[in-house]
Amino acid sequence: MYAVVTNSLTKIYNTVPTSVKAKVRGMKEQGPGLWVKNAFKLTSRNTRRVVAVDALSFSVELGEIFAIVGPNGAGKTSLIKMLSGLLYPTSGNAKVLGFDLVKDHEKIKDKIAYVSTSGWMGLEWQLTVYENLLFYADLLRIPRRKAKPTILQTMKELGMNAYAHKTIPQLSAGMRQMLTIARGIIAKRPIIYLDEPTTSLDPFARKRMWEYLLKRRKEQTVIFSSHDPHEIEEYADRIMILKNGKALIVSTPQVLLKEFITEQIYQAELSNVNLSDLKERINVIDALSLSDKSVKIRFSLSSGNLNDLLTFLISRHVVIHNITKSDAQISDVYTRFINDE
Amino acid sequence: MNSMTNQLRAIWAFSKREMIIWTSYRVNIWTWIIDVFINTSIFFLISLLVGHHTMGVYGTNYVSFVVIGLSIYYISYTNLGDPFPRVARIYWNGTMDLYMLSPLSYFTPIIGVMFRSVIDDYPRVGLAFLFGWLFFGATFAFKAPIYVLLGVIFIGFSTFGIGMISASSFYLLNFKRGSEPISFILQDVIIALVGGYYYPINILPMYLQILASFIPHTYALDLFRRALLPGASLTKPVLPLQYVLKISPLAVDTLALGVMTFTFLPLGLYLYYAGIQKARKEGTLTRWQ
Repeated sequence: MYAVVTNSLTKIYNTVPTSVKAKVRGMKEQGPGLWVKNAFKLTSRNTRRVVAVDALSFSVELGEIFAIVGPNGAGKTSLIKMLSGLLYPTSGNAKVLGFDLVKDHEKIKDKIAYVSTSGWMGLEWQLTVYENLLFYADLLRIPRRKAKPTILQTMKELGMNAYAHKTIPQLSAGMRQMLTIARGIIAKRPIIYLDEPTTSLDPFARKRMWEYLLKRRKEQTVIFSSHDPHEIEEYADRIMILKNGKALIVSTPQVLLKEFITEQIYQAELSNVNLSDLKERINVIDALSLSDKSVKIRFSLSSGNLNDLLTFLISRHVVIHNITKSDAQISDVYTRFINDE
Repeated sequence: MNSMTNQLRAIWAFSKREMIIWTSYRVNIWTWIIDVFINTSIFFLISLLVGHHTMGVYGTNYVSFVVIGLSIYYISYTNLGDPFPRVARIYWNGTMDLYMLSPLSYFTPIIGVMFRSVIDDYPRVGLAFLFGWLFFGATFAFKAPIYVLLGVIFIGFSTFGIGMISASSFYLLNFKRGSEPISFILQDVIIALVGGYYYPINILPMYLQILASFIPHTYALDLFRRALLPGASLTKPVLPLQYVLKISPLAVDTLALGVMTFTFLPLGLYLYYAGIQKARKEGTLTRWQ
């Protein structure tokens, strides 16, 4: 049921799983909220031409929560900026709610909201939290009679009431980020792009943000990027894994776990070990060196091979501090894709 | 109409924000008043040196002469000098993303952000007149109100047009650092030298007077001095163009300012728009963050 991305748009449409469609059922309008076909984006960084988005094709259903993941420099921010009209694709087509990304970018402005990674830098530092939101409500054409109750409700649901009359320098990094998110959501646009929105949020604030978004999923399509595997697994309907501007896969977390993690996952802490030797014998998903000869690893094994592995480790005089079975996580899939490519 | 109302509402929101910020620094108001007072005082002291030497067609009172020079300087400082640093501030602060995605015109955020300078600089014009008149013997007349009104409109828009040409270089020529050459060459070199803030330009060599013919400041200063200074001539030509056209000097000034306004303003707005479109294509519209 997963879809390896191709240039055929029809195939991509067909791959939106029924589980996702079921979640967004009941929305006034249904169908793709946006689609991208064979989009490229070339950018110049210090005179070096960079392919920030490379032959991307995918679609996102209205009401879907769609995650874009990938290592630093994978093209997540470029893609989000492109989908919001801040960058034009060098080639290819894209439509947001039926509007062409390039030709109709003025019309798209009323349809989307964008929260950038370090949007807090652009907050109005001398104004209070409430004044900040009121100022942006004016810029976003929210009628005054609607703006004030919307702001008060948003602040309440995001747990910001106690900070309403504090200025930005008086806020913690997490609360500044929360204000950046609030600024993005008060306009209640049908599509919201969140570029690593929960960076610097504590788990409680993170939960409040997602509760807020989940409550409104019939009104709003969410496209977000994140480095947090738990967040992605818990909230995303589908995931796109990006590397060097290319989509490696688009699918649901459940399908990814089922299709790509067929073996048993283990975690172990070992000393006196040669990691290269070990990698030849088992599929190491992730390794953290604790010292020259000591390592914490996460690996996969076909069932029944554990005894062979233990025999091997003992024969090599490896000290096994602990070894435990683990559930497969979306980060395992992600690591496998990124390392295999 | 609805769109215009929305743009005005946004400018109003910016204005309120800038007012809150400006008034939140209480020491601002005092430094601001003292600054204007000291500036006017300096020219009064210079006027003591000049004595009652004639200022040519502009009468004999140097303080009055220079108060008008200072006033145009304040307007120009904001309208011409402010757009580029404001665009840079919006870009580096990371708010360009938000403004570009909000339903505002490309120009509304700049005009809105410039309001800080407007509240800081425009009232200085009034204070310069007030201090000059109260303490330093400046005198003013009000001889040609229609010309003065047109002059105020044209110098405001023509300098803003040049300011937008300067701002467009941020994207069009990719001047993303602290300064750019357009406003430097115009404001800090040509206008400072031949604009005529502090002396009549007919004391300059002819080639500099001809150079001065291409900037709006020359005509605005001539217009306001003739129209507002007692004893100033309304008929005697002094600028090269006034000798060429052989019509009323005030009409020549207004005509030249009008032509410059209708040239620089659309050109500035167009170039800024073109710069944004270019940046969208190249991926340099917003700061990478």
